[in-house]
Amino acid sequence: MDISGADIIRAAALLGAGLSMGFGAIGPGVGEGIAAAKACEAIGRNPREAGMLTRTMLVGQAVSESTGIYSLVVALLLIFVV
Amino acid sequence: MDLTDWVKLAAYIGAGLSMGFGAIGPGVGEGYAASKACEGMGRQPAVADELLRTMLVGQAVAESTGIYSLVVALLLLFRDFSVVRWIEIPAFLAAGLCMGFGAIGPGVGEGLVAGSACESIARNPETSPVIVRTMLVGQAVAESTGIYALVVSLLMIFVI
Repeated sequence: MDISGADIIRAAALLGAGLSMGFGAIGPGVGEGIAAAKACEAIGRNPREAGMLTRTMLVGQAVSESTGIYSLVVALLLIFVV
Repeated sequence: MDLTDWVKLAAYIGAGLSMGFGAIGPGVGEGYAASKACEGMGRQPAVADELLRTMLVGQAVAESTGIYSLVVALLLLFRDFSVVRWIEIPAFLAAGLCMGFGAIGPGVGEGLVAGSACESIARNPETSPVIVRTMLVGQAVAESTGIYALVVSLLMIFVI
């Protein structure tokens, strides 16, 4: 097989994309899970605030999701643009 | 070794990475959910059925990223290697890394949600419908990064 420098760079970009999305998915997944877990606990303790708690949970999770989306964007850039 | 051998090697290592790391998250998360369901049943045996049901629903959602890992591993294992390209070597390794590590977070996070939902239902059984609803909404959001990882892995396997 004949491998040029451009091939090596393309290979590195693909490996980087996999690492980016793979490790990048860990944090938001765990963090959003903790937020939802605590929302469930709080609703169990004080059911009348369920609406407010669900809203707060979703806002917090949306912020927590952002780094996962950055990982996705970087992975797609590495696959299709670089 | 010719190119086909190297691509096979990469695909098989990628399959191992995908399923090996991908099993960590759902395993831990579902174990946590089961532990909280057991604790709740010990405290409130009257709601045991409700707890069992909530535990199983929550675990089923937490299992999903483990199933994505299995799908990616099987796609890599049973690929047609008759036509191979050099770029598939890093692409298959990256697909395995992406889905393997990407499954950890959602698996653990969704398991935490299921565990806390069981804990809350044991403490306050009459609120169980709203707790189950919150659990499922929260798990759906936590699932999103697992789906991104699946999409990137499938791009690596089929689009590159």
